[in-house]
Amino acid sequence: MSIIEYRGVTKKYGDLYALNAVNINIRRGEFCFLVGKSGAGKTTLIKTLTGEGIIPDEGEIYVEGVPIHRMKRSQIPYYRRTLGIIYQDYTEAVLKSYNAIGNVSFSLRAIDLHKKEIKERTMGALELVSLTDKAYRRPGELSAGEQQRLAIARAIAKEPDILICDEPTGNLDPDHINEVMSVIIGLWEKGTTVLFATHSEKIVNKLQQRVIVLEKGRVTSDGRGGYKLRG
Amino acid sequence: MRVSNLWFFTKESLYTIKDNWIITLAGITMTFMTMFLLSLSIMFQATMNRVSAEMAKSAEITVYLGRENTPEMSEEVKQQIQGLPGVKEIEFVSSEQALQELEESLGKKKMVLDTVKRNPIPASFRVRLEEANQAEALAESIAQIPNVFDIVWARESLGNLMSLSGMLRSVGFILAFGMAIGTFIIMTIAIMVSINSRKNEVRVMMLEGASPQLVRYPWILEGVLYGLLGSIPAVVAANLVYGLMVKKIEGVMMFFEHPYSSAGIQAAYIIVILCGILFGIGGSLIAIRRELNKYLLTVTDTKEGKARFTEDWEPDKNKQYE
Repeated sequence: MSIIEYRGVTKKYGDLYALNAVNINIRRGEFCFLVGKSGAGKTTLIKTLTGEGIIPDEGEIYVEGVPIHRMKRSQIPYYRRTLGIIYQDYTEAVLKSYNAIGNVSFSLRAIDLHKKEIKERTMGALELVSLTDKAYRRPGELSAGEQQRLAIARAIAKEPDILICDEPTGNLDPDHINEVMSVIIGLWEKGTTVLFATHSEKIVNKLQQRVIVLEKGRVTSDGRGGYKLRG
Repeated sequence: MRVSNLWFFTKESLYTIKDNWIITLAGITMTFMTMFLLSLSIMFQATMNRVSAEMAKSAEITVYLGRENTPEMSEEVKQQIQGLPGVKEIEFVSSEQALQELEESLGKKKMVLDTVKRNPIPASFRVRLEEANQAEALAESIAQIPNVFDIVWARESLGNLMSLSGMLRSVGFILAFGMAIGTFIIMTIAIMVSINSRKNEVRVMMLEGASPQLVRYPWILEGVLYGLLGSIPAVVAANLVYGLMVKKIEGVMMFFEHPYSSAGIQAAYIIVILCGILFGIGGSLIAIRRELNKYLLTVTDTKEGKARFTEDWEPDKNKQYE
């Protein structure tokens, strides 16, 4: 059964198609790359999924059978709790005035978990991203890779079914890319469905998983294997 | 919502008061000034009511009767005056009694009366009033009664006091109203600044799935706090100032019974504090509407700021979203 399903989704900005009749089915536990050049529609596709203000002009989006495109505004926060979202710009995602523990527990408090559960999940998430020894450091005292790992820790502390990554390695150097990728792959291996938007051929080719190619808002290729960026 | 999490976000929000202390101080000061003025206006009104009642006790209208009046005619006048609203009691003073009282009041100067061949003072009724501010209306009504020769009452002192009291009361309330608008604006700005200084936290909360109620709650509490911090000291200060005023009044009116500790004044204090809290909540709601919803929309709504999520969809009952 599909955990994420796009049925003929179209989104236009003026005359420009950001998404053009997109049909995608992602099964539970899949690692799915979403690739394409800048402006291909990757971020638009992801934002239609995360409820970040982009609603399709046409088509339907289902997550675990629930029609996200018709979701009530009041239900979005509760839907978001089932998603882990990681962004390219980790500097906006981390809270500079809190240490690593504070950053992770802040989001768990926001979804109103019990104190004991917050503590357990926070420490568990920090352990998963190997930041336990830096738990009391603030983002300013962490490297770029560590900050992105902290953002991942916050996203996964909610124990989401789906991890949505919007070019999470885009601002990182090769060493830090490896750090972050090993964490994400570790989560996928434990059963989390991963939708990973990137324009990095290297990462895609190394993993040899499902690759959905977007060009000018259209899905031009969908299959397993490597990827070569054209043009 | 768990208490521990509510308390956490409350504390976090209160830290912003420290960070934005200048605008916070401005908000609290304006609340203080407005509530102080409002408290004083209320107490001034209560005092004037008391003063008016005190003066009414001694306030009287002297109704002179015609010399040719027969006792029946005088009795008729008395009946008509007693039938008027606001009359507390009525006393007949014969011309002889009036002359004797005049002689007593003149003391050594009573010799001036020796030059008068006959008693110049006609018989009269002394009419005591229930309230001083009724004097003018009552005097006009009595003047219409037949066989009344003349009426005399303390038009100047009572009339002026009443109009001064009314004017000061109006000025007080108009000033308080004007300042209330100013307070409202400053409070709104203070909370908008507070929201802006924590926009990153708000964004993270929304992205992670915090309910809008939880995101809004700390700022409503901040508004309540502004209201309390402004209005409680205002009531205390107004009470002190009023205490000093009472001492001055007691110097002039020895038996003046001030409303200082009356239940009405206590209730007024509570109303003023509640007004302060309502101002705070009102300011918060406007700030939230203008500033916080902007962030909520950025995260959860269309770029145009209009929700397009249709209302006809019901969530899957078998799926737990909450």
